[in-house]
Amino acid sequence: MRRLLLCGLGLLAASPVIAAPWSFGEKIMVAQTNKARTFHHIDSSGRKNIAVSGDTVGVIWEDNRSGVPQVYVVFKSVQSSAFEPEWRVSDAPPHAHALAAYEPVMVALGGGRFLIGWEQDSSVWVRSGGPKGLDPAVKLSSVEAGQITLAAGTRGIYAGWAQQLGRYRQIVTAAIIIRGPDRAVSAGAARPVDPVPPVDEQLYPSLAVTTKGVTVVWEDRRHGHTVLLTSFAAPGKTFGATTELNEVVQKSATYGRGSGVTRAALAVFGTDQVGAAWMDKRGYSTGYDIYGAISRDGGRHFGKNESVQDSFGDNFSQWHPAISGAAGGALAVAWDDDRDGSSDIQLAWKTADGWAENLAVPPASGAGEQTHPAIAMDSRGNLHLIWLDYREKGQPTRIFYAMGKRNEGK
Amino acid sequence: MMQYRNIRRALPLLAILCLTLLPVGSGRADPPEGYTFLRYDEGLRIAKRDGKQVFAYFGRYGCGFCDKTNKESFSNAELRKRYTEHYVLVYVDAESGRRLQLPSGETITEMELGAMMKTLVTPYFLYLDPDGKVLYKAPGFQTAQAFMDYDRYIHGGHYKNQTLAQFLGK
Repeated sequence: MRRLLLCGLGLLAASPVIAAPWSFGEKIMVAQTNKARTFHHIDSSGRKNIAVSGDTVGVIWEDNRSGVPQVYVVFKSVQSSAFEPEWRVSDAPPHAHALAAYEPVMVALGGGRFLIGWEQDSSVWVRSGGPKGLDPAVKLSSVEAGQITLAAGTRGIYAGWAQQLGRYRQIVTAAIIIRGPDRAVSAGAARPVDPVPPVDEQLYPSLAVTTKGVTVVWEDRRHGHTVLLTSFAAPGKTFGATTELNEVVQKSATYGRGSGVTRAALAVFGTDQVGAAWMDKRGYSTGYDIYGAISRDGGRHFGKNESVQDSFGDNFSQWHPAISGAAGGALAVAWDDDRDGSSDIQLAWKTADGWAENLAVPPASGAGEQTHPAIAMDSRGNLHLIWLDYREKGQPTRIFYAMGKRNEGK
Repeated sequence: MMQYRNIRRALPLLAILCLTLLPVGSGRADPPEGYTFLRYDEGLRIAKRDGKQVFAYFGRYGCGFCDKTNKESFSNAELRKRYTEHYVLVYVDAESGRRLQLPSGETITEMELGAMMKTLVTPYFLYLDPDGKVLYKAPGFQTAQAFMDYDRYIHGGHYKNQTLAQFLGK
Protein backbone atom coordinates (compact mmCIF):
# COMPACT_ATOMS: atom_id res chain seq x y z
CA MET A 1 0.00 0.00 0.00
CA ARG A 2 2.80 2.33 0.95
CA ARG A 3 4.59 1.53 -2.32
CA LEU A 4 1.44 2.29 -4.30
CA LEU A 5 1.09 5.57 -2.48
CA LEU A 6 4.71 6.41 -3.14
CA CYS A 7 4.26 5.43 -6.79
CA GLY A 8 1.36 7.86 -7.03
CA LEU A 9 3.34 10.54 -5.29
CA GLY A 10 6.23 9.78 -7.64
CA LEU A 11 4.02 10.46 -10.66
CA LEU A 12 2.97 13.73 -9.12
CA ALA A 13 6.57 14.60 -8.41
CA ALA A 14 7.45 13.96 -12.07
CA SER A 15 5.31 16.89 -13.13
CA PRO A 16 7.28 20.07 -13.78
CA VAL A 17 5.11 21.96 -11.29
CA ILE A 18 5.66 19.79 -8.20
CA ALA A 19 9.38 19.23 -7.73
CA ALA A 20 10.96 16.83 -5.25
CA PRO A 21 12.36 18.55 -2.16
CA TRP A 22 15.84 17.06 -2.71
CA SER A 23 17.80 16.02 -5.78
CA PHE A 24 20.33 13.26 -5.16
CA GLY A 25 23.18 12.36 -7.46
CA GLU A 26 24.25 8.84 -8.37
CA LYS A 27 25.56 6.72 -5.53
CA ILE A 28 29.33 6.31 -5.38
CA MET A 29 31.14 3.29 -3.96
CA VAL A 30 33.13 4.00 -0.81
CA ALA A 31 34.20 0.50 0.20
CA GLN A 32 33.38 -3.03 -0.87
CA THR A 33 34.75 -6.52 -0.63
CA ASN A 34 34.24 -9.93 -2.13
CA LYS A 35 36.20 -11.52 0.68
CA ALA A 36 34.03 -13.90 2.69
CA ARG A 37 33.40 -13.14 6.34
CA THR A 38 34.37 -9.48 5.88
CA PHE A 39 31.99 -6.92 7.36
CA HIS A 40 31.96 -3.13 7.16
CA HIS A 41 30.58 -1.10 10.06
CA ILE A 42 29.44 2.53 10.19
CA ASP A 43 29.04 2.92 13.93
CA SER A 44 30.25 5.64 16.25
CA SER A 45 29.20 7.63 19.25
CA GLY A 46 27.13 10.47 17.74
CA ARG A 47 27.30 8.80 14.28
CA LYS A 48 29.98 11.16 12.92
CA ASN A 49 31.40 8.93 10.17
CA ILE A 50 31.39 11.54 7.40
CA ALA A 51 32.56 15.16 7.32
CA VAL A 52 33.06 17.88 4.73
CA SER A 53 36.07 20.17 5.12
CA GLY A 54 36.27 22.91 2.51
CA ASP A 55 35.89 21.09 -0.76
CA THR A 56 36.87 17.67 0.62
CA VAL A 57 34.59 14.86 1.76
CA GLY A 58 35.98 12.35 4.26
CA VAL A 59 34.43 8.99 5.21
CA ILE A 60 35.58 6.71 8.01
CA TRP A 61 34.54 3.18 8.93
CA GLU A 62 35.73 -0.12 10.42
CA ASP A 63 36.05 -3.49 8.70
CA ASN A 64 37.74 -6.81 9.40
CA ARG A 65 39.29 -7.56 6.01
CA SER A 66 42.65 -8.26 7.68
CA GLY A 67 41.05 -10.67 10.13
CA VAL A 68 40.99 -8.05 12.88
CA PRO A 69 38.65 -5.02 12.90
CA GLN A 70 40.60 -1.95 11.75
CA VAL A 71 39.68 1.63 10.85
CA TYR A 72 40.01 3.10 7.36
CA VAL A 73 39.40 6.56 5.88
CA VAL A 74 38.92 7.81 2.33
CA PHE A 75 38.67 11.28 0.81
CA LYS A 76 37.39 12.87 -2.37
CA SER A 77 36.68 16.36 -3.59
CA VAL A 78 33.00 17.25 -3.54
CA GLN A 79 32.93 17.35 -7.36
CA SER A 80 34.78 14.06 -7.89
CA SER A 81 32.88 10.94 -8.91
CA ALA A 82 35.21 8.57 -7.05
CA PHE A 83 37.03 8.33 -3.74
CA GLU A 84 40.82 8.24 -3.62
CA PRO A 85 42.65 5.17 -2.26
CA GLU A 86 42.01 4.62 1.42
CA TRP A 87 44.31 5.12 4.39
CA ARG A 88 44.47 2.74 7.32
CA VAL A 89 43.93 4.87 10.42
CA SER A 90 44.38 2.41 13.29
CA ASP A 91 48.12 1.76 12.88
CA ALA A 92 49.54 3.67 15.84
CA PRO A 93 50.08 1.36 18.81
CA PRO A 94 52.70 -1.41 18.65
CA HIS A 95 51.24 -4.52 16.98
CA ALA A 96 48.30 -2.40 15.87
CA HIS A 97 47.37 -4.90 13.17
CA ALA A 98 46.48 -7.39 15.92
CA LEU A 99 44.56 -4.91 18.09
CA ALA A 100 40.90 -4.51 17.17
CA ALA A 101 39.81 -0.94 16.41
CA TYR A 102 36.21 0.24 16.58
CA GLU A 103 33.69 3.07 16.35
CA PRO A 104 35.66 5.71 14.41
CA VAL A 105 34.53 9.35 14.12
CA MET A 106 35.70 12.33 12.13
CA VAL A 107 35.11 16.07 12.19
CA ALA A 108 36.05 18.82 9.72
CA LEU A 109 38.82 21.25 10.69
CA GLY A 110 38.55 23.41 7.57
CA GLY A 111 40.80 23.72 4.56
CA GLY A 112 40.43 20.08 3.61
CA ARG A 113 41.70 18.76 6.93
CA PHE A 114 39.99 16.54 9.48
CA LEU A 115 40.35 15.24 13.02
CA ILE A 116 39.82 11.51 13.36
CA GLY A 117 39.09 9.51 16.51
CA TRP A 118 38.71 5.80 17.22
CA GLU A 119 38.92 3.12 19.91
CA GLN A 120 41.76 0.61 19.94
CA ASP A 121 43.36 -1.55 22.59
CA SER A 122 40.82 -0.33 25.18
CA SER A 123 41.92 3.29 24.64
CA VAL A 124 40.74 6.23 22.56
CA TRP A 125 43.01 7.82 19.95
CA VAL A 126 42.98 10.88 17.71
CA ARG A 127 45.00 12.07 14.74
CA SER A 128 44.55 14.76 12.12
CA GLY A 129 44.86 14.28 8.40
CA GLY A 130 43.50 14.76 4.93
CA PRO A 131 43.87 13.51 1.38
CA LYS A 132 47.68 13.85 1.48
CA GLY A 133 48.11 11.66 4.55
CA LEU A 134 47.62 11.24 8.27
CA ASP A 135 49.58 12.92 11.05
CA PRO A 136 50.88 11.04 14.13
CA ALA A 137 48.27 9.54 16.44
CA VAL A 138 47.85 10.47 20.07
CA LYS A 139 46.30 8.34 22.82
CA LEU A 140 43.80 10.39 24.81
CA SER A 141 42.94 8.03 27.65
CA SER A 142 45.10 6.72 30.44
CA VAL A 143 42.51 4.20 31.64
CA GLU A 144 40.17 1.81 29.82
CA ALA A 145 38.06 3.90 27.44
CA GLY A 146 35.89 3.82 24.33
CA GLN A 147 32.92 5.43 22.55
CA ILE A 148 34.86 8.49 21.41
CA THR A 149 33.08 11.42 19.78
CA LEU A 150 34.40 14.70 18.36
CA ALA A 151 33.10 18.21 17.64
CA ALA A 152 34.66 21.39 16.31
CA GLY A 153 33.54 25.01 16.24
CA THR A 154 34.85 28.54 16.47
CA ARG A 155 35.37 28.00 20.20
CA GLY A 156 37.67 25.06 19.66
CA ILE A 157 37.88 21.33 19.06
CA TYR A 158 36.70 18.82 21.66
CA ALA A 159 36.74 15.08 22.19
CA GLY A 160 34.42 13.20 24.50
CA TRP A 161 34.52 9.55 25.51
CA ALA A 162 33.43 7.00 28.13
CA GLN A 163 36.17 5.87 30.48
CA GLN A 164 36.25 3.46 33.38
CA LEU A 165 35.98 4.97 36.84
CA GLY A 166 35.70 2.21 39.39
CA ARG A 167 32.73 0.03 38.62
CA TYR A 168 31.16 2.30 35.98
CA ARG A 169 32.06 4.27 32.90
CA GLN A 170 32.12 8.05 33.14
CA ILE A 171 31.80 10.56 30.30
CA VAL A 172 34.71 12.99 30.05
CA THR A 173 35.71 15.65 27.53
CA ALA A 174 39.01 17.26 26.62
CA ALA A 175 40.00 20.18 24.45
CA ILE A 176 42.09 19.16 21.45
CA ILE A 177 44.91 21.44 20.32
CA ILE A 178 46.65 21.16 16.95
CA ARG A 179 49.85 23.21 16.72
CA GLY A 180 52.86 23.88 14.55
CA PRO A 181 53.92 23.00 11.03
CA ASP A 182 53.85 19.29 11.82
CA ARG A 183 50.30 19.69 13.16
CA ALA A 184 51.08 18.00 16.46
CA VAL A 185 47.90 17.00 18.27
CA SER A 186 47.67 17.34 22.04
CA ALA A 187 44.80 17.23 24.50
CA GLY A 188 43.90 19.22 27.57
CA ALA A 189 42.97 17.51 30.81
CA ALA A 190 40.03 15.12 30.61
CA ARG A 191 37.17 16.59 32.64
CA PRO A 192 33.96 14.85 33.70
CA VAL A 193 30.78 16.27 32.19
CA ASP A 194 28.87 15.61 35.39
CA PRO A 195 30.18 17.10 38.65
CA VAL A 196 28.78 14.06 40.49
CA PRO A 197 30.75 10.78 40.23
CA PRO A 198 28.81 8.06 38.35
CA VAL A 199 26.58 5.75 40.36
CA ASP A 200 25.75 3.71 37.24
CA GLU A 201 26.86 3.58 33.63
CA GLN A 202 27.37 6.73 31.52
CA LEU A 203 27.57 5.83 27.84
CA TYR A 204 27.73 7.03 24.22
CA PRO A 205 28.36 10.82 24.35
CA SER A 206 27.80 13.32 21.57
CA LEU A 207 29.17 16.89 21.55
CA ALA A 208 28.31 20.25 19.99
CA VAL A 209 30.46 23.39 20.06
CA THR A 210 28.83 26.81 19.63
CA THR A 211 30.07 30.32 20.36
CA LYS A 212 28.31 30.00 23.74
CA GLY A 213 30.19 26.89 24.85
CA VAL A 214 30.25 23.09 24.70
CA THR A 215 27.17 20.88 25.05
CA VAL A 216 27.30 17.16 25.69
CA VAL A 217 24.55 14.55 25.73
CA TRP A 218 24.99 10.98 26.95
CA GLU A 219 23.09 7.87 28.04
CA ASP A 220 22.86 7.66 31.80
CA ARG A 221 21.57 4.70 33.82
CA ARG A 222 21.55 6.27 37.29
CA HIS A 223 17.77 6.12 37.63
CA GLY A 224 17.49 2.38 36.94
CA HIS A 225 16.67 2.97 33.29
CA THR A 226 18.40 4.92 30.55
CA VAL A 227 17.84 8.66 30.32
CA LEU A 228 19.59 11.16 28.08
CA LEU A 229 21.36 13.80 30.12
CA THR A 230 22.88 17.02 28.84
CA SER A 231 25.42 19.29 30.39
CA PHE A 232 26.84 22.61 29.25
CA ALA A 233 30.17 24.35 29.80
CA ALA A 234 30.68 28.02 28.95
CA PRO A 235 34.13 28.90 27.59
CA GLY A 236 36.76 28.40 30.27
CA LYS A 237 34.24 26.95 32.72
CA THR A 238 33.57 23.44 33.96
CA PHE A 239 30.38 21.56 33.08
CA GLY A 240 27.37 22.50 35.17
CA ALA A 241 24.40 20.59 36.49
CA THR A 242 22.84 17.91 34.30
CA THR A 243 19.46 18.26 32.60
CA GLU A 244 17.24 15.51 31.24
CA LEU A 245 16.83 15.74 27.47
CA ASN A 246 14.14 13.13 26.86
CA GLU A 247 10.70 13.17 28.40
CA VAL A 248 10.43 9.99 30.46
CA VAL A 249 7.31 7.90 29.97
CA GLN A 250 6.51 5.65 32.92
CA LYS A 251 4.45 2.89 31.36
CA SER A 252 3.66 0.99 34.53
CA ALA A 253 3.39 1.92 38.18
CA THR A 254 4.49 -1.59 39.13
CA TYR A 255 7.05 -2.76 36.61
CA GLY A 256 10.17 -1.22 35.14
CA ARG A 257 11.50 2.27 35.55
CA GLY A 258 10.89 4.08 32.27
CA SER A 259 10.78 3.98 28.50
CA GLY A 260 14.01 3.31 26.64
CA VAL A 261 16.13 5.91 24.90
CA THR A 262 19.45 5.40 23.24
CA ARG A 263 22.14 6.66 20.82
CA ALA A 264 21.66 10.43 20.90
CA ALA A 265 23.45 12.65 18.40
CA LEU A 266 23.97 16.43 18.30
CA ALA A 267 24.59 18.91 15.49
CA VAL A 268 25.03 22.68 15.32
CA PHE A 269 22.97 24.63 12.76
CA GLY A 270 22.16 28.23 11.96
CA THR A 271 23.51 30.69 14.50
CA ASP A 272 24.30 28.87 17.72
CA GLN A 273 21.39 26.45 17.48
CA VAL A 274 21.83 22.79 18.38
CA GLY A 275 19.70 19.90 17.18
CA ALA A 276 19.49 16.56 19.00
CA ALA A 277 18.10 13.28 17.65
CA TRP A 278 17.79 9.90 19.33
CA MET A 279 15.99 6.55 19.39
CA ASP A 280 13.05 6.56 21.79
CA LYS A 281 10.85 3.68 22.90
CA ARG A 282 8.02 5.72 24.42
CA GLY A 283 5.57 4.08 21.96
CA TYR A 284 3.99 0.86 23.11
CA SER A 285 4.54 -1.77 20.46
CA THR A 286 6.57 -0.65 17.47
CA GLY A 287 10.08 -0.39 18.79
CA TYR A 288 12.14 2.76 18.62
CA ASP A 289 10.90 6.02 17.13
CA ILE A 290 13.11 8.98 16.21
CA TYR A 291 12.67 11.93 18.51
CA GLY A 292 14.51 15.22 18.61
CA ALA A 293 14.84 18.52 20.44
CA ILE A 294 16.24 21.94 19.57
CA SER A 295 18.34 24.36 21.57
CA ARG A 296 18.06 28.02 20.54
CA ASP A 297 20.58 29.33 23.09
CA GLY A 298 23.80 27.69 22.02
CA GLY A 299 23.17 24.35 23.68
CA ARG A 300 22.47 25.52 27.21
CA HIS A 301 18.82 24.43 27.19
CA PHE A 302 16.72 22.27 24.89
CA GLY A 303 13.06 22.71 23.96
CA LYS A 304 10.28 20.12 24.07
CA ASN A 305 10.69 16.70 22.49
CA GLU A 306 9.52 16.47 18.87
CA SER A 307 8.69 13.43 16.75
CA VAL A 308 11.10 13.54 13.81
CA GLN A 309 9.56 10.70 11.83
CA ASP A 310 6.21 11.05 10.12
CA SER A 311 3.15 8.90 10.79
CA PHE A 312 4.02 6.48 7.95
CA GLY A 313 6.85 5.27 10.15
CA ASP A 314 4.81 4.81 13.28
CA ASN A 315 4.28 1.08 12.85
CA PHE A 316 7.95 0.33 12.26
CA SER A 317 11.07 0.45 14.33
CA GLN A 318 13.57 3.17 13.49
CA TRP A 319 17.32 2.67 13.95
CA HIS A 320 20.63 4.57 13.75
CA PRO A 321 19.70 8.29 13.72
CA ALA A 322 22.34 10.68 12.39
CA ILE A 323 21.99 14.47 12.45
CA SER A 324 23.77 17.32 10.73
CA GLY A 325 23.21 21.04 10.22
CA ALA A 326 24.48 23.96 8.16
CA ALA A 327 25.33 27.53 9.06
CA GLY A 328 22.55 28.68 6.74
CA GLY A 329 19.98 27.15 9.10
CA ALA A 330 19.33 23.72 7.56
CA LEU A 331 19.05 20.73 9.88
CA ALA A 332 18.51 17.13 8.73
CA VAL A 333 18.16 13.73 10.39
CA ALA A 334 18.65 10.37 8.63
CA TRP A 335 17.94 6.85 9.91
CA ASP A 336 16.88 3.44 8.62
CA ASP A 337 13.55 1.67 8.87
CA ASP A 338 11.51 -1.06 7.18
CA ARG A 339 8.32 0.83 6.32
CA ASP A 340 8.59 -0.03 2.61
CA GLY A 341 9.21 -3.74 3.11
CA SER A 342 12.99 -3.68 3.51
CA SER A 343 15.36 -1.36 5.24
CA ASP A 344 15.81 2.03 3.52
CA ILE A 345 17.47 5.28 4.50
CA GLN A 346 14.84 7.83 5.50
CA LEU A 347 15.45 11.57 5.70
CA ALA A 348 13.65 14.33 7.60
CA TRP A 349 14.57 17.99 7.72
CA LYS A 350 13.51 20.87 9.90
CA THR A 351 10.84 23.16 8.52
CA ALA A 352 9.16 26.25 9.89
CA ASP A 353 6.29 24.03 11.04
CA GLY A 354 8.25 21.15 12.52
CA TRP A 355 9.73 18.25 10.57
CA ALA A 356 9.14 17.46 6.89
CA GLU A 357 7.36 14.32 5.74
CA ASN A 358 10.02 11.65 5.52
CA LEU A 359 11.82 10.97 2.26
CA ALA A 360 13.15 7.54 1.34
CA VAL A 361 16.45 8.72 -0.13
CA PRO A 362 16.33 7.55 -3.79
CA PRO A 363 19.86 6.14 -4.11
CA ALA A 364 19.61 4.58 -0.62
CA SER A 365 16.25 2.85 -0.87
CA GLY A 366 14.60 0.02 -2.77
CA ALA A 367 15.63 -3.63 -3.03
CA GLY A 368 18.08 -4.97 -0.48
CA GLU A 369 18.99 -3.56 2.90
CA GLN A 370 20.24 0.01 3.29
CA THR A 371 21.17 0.74 6.89
CA HIS A 372 23.44 2.70 9.26
CA PRO A 373 23.44 6.18 7.68
CA ALA A 374 25.78 9.00 8.58
CA ILE A 375 25.33 12.52 7.21
CA ALA A 376 27.19 15.82 6.92
CA MET A 377 25.91 19.10 5.54
CA ASP A 378 28.37 21.40 3.83
CA SER A 379 28.45 25.20 4.00
CA ARG A 380 26.08 25.40 1.02
CA GLY A 381 23.50 23.18 2.73
CA ASN A 382 24.20 20.16 0.51
CA LEU A 383 23.68 16.84 2.22
CA HIS A 384 26.45 14.24 2.08
CA LEU A 385 25.24 10.77 3.00
CA ILE A 386 26.88 7.38 3.48
CA TRP A 387 25.19 4.11 4.31
CA LEU A 388 25.78 0.40 4.62
CA ASP A 389 24.34 -1.72 1.83
CA TYR A 390 23.84 -5.44 1.56
CA ARG A 391 21.67 -7.40 -0.77
CA GLU A 392 20.65 -9.87 1.90
CA LYS A 393 21.80 -11.12 5.27
CA GLY A 394 25.13 -12.91 5.12
CA GLN A 395 26.13 -11.30 1.82
CA PRO A 396 29.20 -9.02 1.62
CA THR A 397 28.59 -5.49 2.82
CA ARG A 398 29.34 -2.28 0.90
CA ILE A 399 29.45 1.38 1.83
CA PHE A 400 27.93 3.90 -0.56
CA TYR A 401 27.94 7.70 -0.72
CA ALA A 402 25.52 10.15 -2.35
CA MET A 403 25.12 13.90 -2.29
CA GLY A 404 21.76 15.66 -2.16
CA LYS A 405 20.92 19.22 -3.10
CA ARG A 406 17.92 20.95 -1.59
CA ASN A 407 15.52 22.23 -4.23
CA GLU A 408 14.60 25.82 -3.56
CA GLY A 409 11.25 26.45 -1.99
CA LYS A 410 10.57 22.81 -1.11
CA MET B 1 28.88 3.31 74.19
CA MET B 2 32.09 1.97 72.71
CA GLN B 3 30.19 -0.82 71.00
CA TYR B 4 27.67 1.69 69.60
CA ARG B 5 30.53 3.78 68.18
CA ASN B 6 32.05 0.69 66.57
CA ILE B 7 28.72 -0.23 65.03
CA ARG B 8 28.32 3.32 63.72
CA ARG B 9 31.83 3.17 62.24
CA ALA B 10 31.03 -0.16 60.63
CA LEU B 11 27.73 0.97 59.12
CA PRO B 12 29.17 2.49 55.91
CA LEU B 13 31.23 -0.67 55.40
CA LEU B 14 28.16 -2.84 55.99
CA ALA B 15 26.15 -0.74 53.55
CA ILE B 16 28.83 -1.13 50.88
CA LEU B 17 28.97 -4.88 51.60
CA CYS B 18 25.19 -5.20 51.27
CA LEU B 19 25.20 -3.27 48.00
CA THR B 20 28.01 -5.46 46.70
CA LEU B 21 26.13 -8.64 47.61
CA LEU B 22 22.91 -7.53 45.93
CA PRO B 23 22.39 -9.08 42.52
CA VAL B 24 23.68 -6.64 39.90
CA GLY B 25 20.80 -4.69 38.41
CA SER B 26 18.29 -6.12 40.87
CA GLY B 27 14.79 -4.96 39.97
CA ARG B 28 16.00 -3.31 36.77
CA ALA B 29 14.86 -5.95 34.31
CA ASP B 30 18.14 -7.71 33.90
CA PRO B 31 17.95 -11.51 33.52
CA PRO B 32 15.58 -13.21 35.99
CA GLU B 33 17.01 -14.47 39.23
CA GLY B 34 17.66 -18.19 39.65
CA TYR B 35 18.73 -18.73 36.04
CA THR B 36 22.19 -18.82 34.53
CA PHE B 37 22.14 -16.61 31.47
CA LEU B 38 25.33 -16.38 29.40
CA ARG B 39 26.61 -13.89 26.84
CA TYR B 40 25.10 -14.51 23.41
CA ASP B 41 28.37 -15.54 21.74
CA GLU B 42 29.49 -17.71 24.64
CA GLY B 43 26.09 -19.40 24.73
CA LEU B 44 26.12 -20.15 21.01
CA ARG B 45 29.55 -21.75 21.28
CA ILE B 46 28.37 -23.96 24.14
CA ALA B 47 25.15 -24.84 22.33
CA LYS B 48 27.05 -25.92 19.23
CA ARG B 49 29.50 -27.95 21.30
CA ASP B 50 26.76 -29.66 23.30
CA GLY B 51 24.11 -29.86 20.55
CA LYS B 52 21.60 -27.94 22.67
CA GLN B 53 18.99 -25.45 21.61
CA VAL B 54 19.31 -21.81 22.69
CA PHE B 55 16.80 -19.60 24.44
CA ALA B 56 17.74 -15.94 23.86
CA TYR B 57 16.25 -13.16 25.99
CA PHE B 58 16.60 -9.64 24.55
CA GLY B 59 15.96 -7.24 27.43
CA ARG B 60 16.48 -3.60 28.18
CA TYR B 61 17.69 -1.78 31.25
CA GLY B 62 14.60 -0.53 33.09
CA CYS B 63 12.19 -2.37 30.76
CA GLY B 64 8.78 -2.72 32.39
CA PHE B 65 7.54 -5.76 30.50
CA CYS B 66 10.87 -7.51 31.12
CA ASP B 67 10.40 -6.86 34.82
CA LYS B 68 6.83 -8.18 34.62
CA THR B 69 7.95 -11.30 32.75
CA ASN B 70 10.72 -11.94 35.26
CA LYS B 71 8.42 -11.59 38.25
CA GLU B 72 5.27 -13.25 36.94
CA SER B 73 6.57 -15.91 34.56
CA PHE B 74 10.21 -16.79 35.18
CA SER B 75 9.46 -17.17 38.90
CA ASN B 76 7.61 -20.40 38.03
CA ALA B 77 9.65 -23.32 39.41
CA GLU B 78 8.61 -25.79 36.69
CA LEU B 79 9.53 -23.26 34.00
CA ARG B 80 12.91 -22.73 35.61
CA LYS B 81 13.54 -26.50 35.69
CA ARG B 82 12.52 -27.05 32.06
CA TYR B 83 14.39 -24.09 30.58
CA THR B 84 17.54 -24.74 32.58
CA GLU B 85 17.57 -28.37 31.44
CA HIS B 86 16.51 -27.91 27.82
CA TYR B 87 18.35 -24.79 26.66
CA VAL B 88 21.52 -22.83 26.78
CA LEU B 89 20.20 -19.52 28.14
CA VAL B 90 21.60 -16.26 26.75
CA TYR B 91 20.76 -12.68 27.63
CA VAL B 92 21.25 -9.62 25.42
CA ASP B 93 21.01 -6.06 26.76
CA ALA B 94 19.49 -4.56 23.62
CA GLU B 95 20.91 -1.08 24.27
CA SER B 96 24.37 -2.19 25.29
CA GLY B 97 27.63 -1.44 23.52
CA ARG B 98 29.15 -4.73 24.72
CA ARG B 99 30.76 -6.52 21.80
CA LEU B 100 29.97 -10.03 20.66
CA GLN B 101 31.60 -12.21 18.05
CA LEU B 102 29.00 -13.98 15.92
CA PRO B 103 29.53 -17.43 14.38
CA SER B 104 30.08 -15.63 11.03
CA GLY B 105 33.16 -13.96 12.52
CA GLU B 106 31.50 -10.54 12.62
CA THR B 107 32.00 -8.49 15.79
CA ILE B 108 29.04 -6.30 16.70
CA THR B 109 27.54 -4.76 19.80
CA GLU B 110 24.60 -6.26 21.65
CA MET B 111 22.46 -3.39 20.41
CA GLU B 112 23.44 -4.11 16.81
CA LEU B 113 22.52 -7.76 17.34
CA GLY B 114 19.06 -6.57 18.37
CA ALA B 115 18.85 -4.41 15.22
CA MET B 116 20.04 -7.30 13.07
CA MET B 117 17.42 -9.62 14.60
CA LYS B 118 14.83 -6.83 14.24
CA THR B 119 13.80 -7.09 17.87
CA LEU B 120 11.12 -4.41 17.83
CA VAL B 121 10.26 -4.57 21.49
CA THR B 122 11.67 -5.79 24.76
CA PRO B 123 11.41 -8.36 26.04
CA TYR B 124 11.91 -10.35 22.88
CA PHE B 125 12.51 -14.09 23.07
CA LEU B 126 14.19 -16.23 20.41
CA TYR B 127 14.54 -19.97 20.22
CA LEU B 128 17.60 -21.02 18.21
CA ASP B 129 18.97 -24.34 17.04
CA PRO B 130 22.54 -25.31 18.03
CA ASP B 131 23.86 -23.56 14.88
CA GLY B 132 22.17 -20.29 15.79
CA LYS B 133 19.29 -20.56 13.29
CA VAL B 134 16.10 -18.92 14.56
CA LEU B 135 13.34 -21.47 15.17
CA TYR B 136 10.71 -19.28 16.79
CA LYS B 137 10.26 -15.67 17.93
CA ALA B 138 8.07 -14.55 20.84
CA PRO B 139 7.92 -10.76 21.23
CA GLY B 140 6.68 -9.03 24.36
CA PHE B 141 5.39 -10.27 27.70
CA GLN B 142 4.74 -14.02 27.84
CA THR B 143 2.94 -15.96 30.55
CA ALA B 144 4.51 -18.99 32.21
CA GLN B 145 1.97 -21.15 30.36
CA ALA B 146 3.00 -19.65 27.02
CA PHE B 147 6.65 -20.39 27.79
CA MET B 148 5.67 -23.99 28.68
CA ASP B 149 3.85 -24.30 25.33
CA TYR B 150 6.81 -22.91 23.41
CA ASP B 151 9.07 -25.36 25.21
CA ARG B 152 6.93 -28.36 24.23
CA TYR B 153 6.81 -27.05 20.65
CA ILE B 154 10.53 -26.31 20.29
CA HIS B 155 12.20 -28.87 22.54
CA GLY B 156 9.78 -31.55 21.34
CA GLY B 157 10.82 -30.85 17.73
CA HIS B 158 7.25 -30.08 16.59
CA TYR B 159 8.43 -26.88 14.90
CA LYS B 160 9.84 -29.07 12.12
CA ASN B 161 6.43 -29.94 10.67
CA GLN B 162 3.84 -27.75 12.38
CA THR B 163 3.17 -24.13 13.09
CA LEU B 164 2.73 -23.25 16.72
CA ALA B 165 -0.98 -22.69 16.15
CA GLN B 166 -1.33 -26.15 14.59
CA PHE B 167 0.62 -27.69 17.44
CA LEU B 168 -1.58 -26.05 20.02
CA GLY B 169 -4.72 -27.07 18.12
CA LYS B 170 -5.87 -23.52 17.56
